[in-house]
Amino acid sequence: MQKKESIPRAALAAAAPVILGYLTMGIACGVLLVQQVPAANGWWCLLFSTFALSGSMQFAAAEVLKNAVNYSLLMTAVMALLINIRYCIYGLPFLRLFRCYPWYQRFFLIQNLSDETYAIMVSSRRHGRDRRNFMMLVAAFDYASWIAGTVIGAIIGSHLPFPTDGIEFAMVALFVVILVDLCREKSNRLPALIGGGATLIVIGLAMAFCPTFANKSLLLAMALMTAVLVAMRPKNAKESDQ
Amino acid sequence: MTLHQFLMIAIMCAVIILLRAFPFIVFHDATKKPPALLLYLGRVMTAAAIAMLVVYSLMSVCDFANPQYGRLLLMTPAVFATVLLQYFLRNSLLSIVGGTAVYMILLQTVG
Repeated sequence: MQKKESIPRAALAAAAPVILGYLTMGIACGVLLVQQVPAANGWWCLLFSTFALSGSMQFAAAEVLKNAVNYSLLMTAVMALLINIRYCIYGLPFLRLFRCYPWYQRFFLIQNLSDETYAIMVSSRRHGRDRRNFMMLVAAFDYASWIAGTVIGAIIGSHLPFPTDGIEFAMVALFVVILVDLCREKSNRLPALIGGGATLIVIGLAMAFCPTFANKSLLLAMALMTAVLVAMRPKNAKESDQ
Repeated sequence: MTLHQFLMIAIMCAVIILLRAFPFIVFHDATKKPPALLLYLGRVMTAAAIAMLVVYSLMSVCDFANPQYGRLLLMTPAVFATVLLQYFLRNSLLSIVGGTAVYMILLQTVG
């Protein structure tokens, strides 16, 4: 007879690579946040990560909060919307399944649908109570390691023993890293080109002709990018709209 | 922290929470199919938005208010280092630390 699998052990094994990744990236994010945002510290990162579980958003927040005077609330909202819009489809495979769970478990699972946790959850082949426990544990491990990472980073970041001029490049580096990984997939290359191109054109023109408008031109770049993407969507997608 | 910064953080958190909850609020009826445009944007927007952030964050390191285009020159090798590290070694932290180290050393010695 087959031995019954231990769900906590299986969840830890599935989450292990994500835990390592989240801890280290969280540390990088925490260091950047305390270096860039004067008010940030360990407690602050703890709260921020608890309520906004989104790595790329929190890296972008370093820039947005540092130069807060240049960003309106509307711009912040649109930026958050576009960076994270993929999350609004991550729930689709779980529409039925999550409804069987109590509301607090449902809420926790929904708010933990990050790229990595989503990938583990969606590929789990378990059923019933095992599946629920597995998903709750994976989500909890991932969530805790990201929060722990940012807090550790915030504590380390305020005691760095060398001059930190230029550390703001970590934000650029993170986005480059994500882009390199995305572009391994062919279907992402054209959208990436459109997004980068639209931003380059709009900000380039703004910096050349109207420098005071340059950092406010992001909204325009986002609008242009979205318009081009919508105009270029494949035909069959248009037909199945009805 | 100013009130404005506090509100910005609150908005970022609210947008993320609402986005994740969105399908569970809107598609109550699991038999109804979500619009194709939404599915399409959900698929392509990530790559586009991240590419936008690459360009935008490069510009913002140059400082919009007081543009220092020389920094673009220093950032070119750093971006190259990041891309090569990530493409071949696939270790995100190593690529970020490596690329940032290249930029910091260049900025603090040459810049």
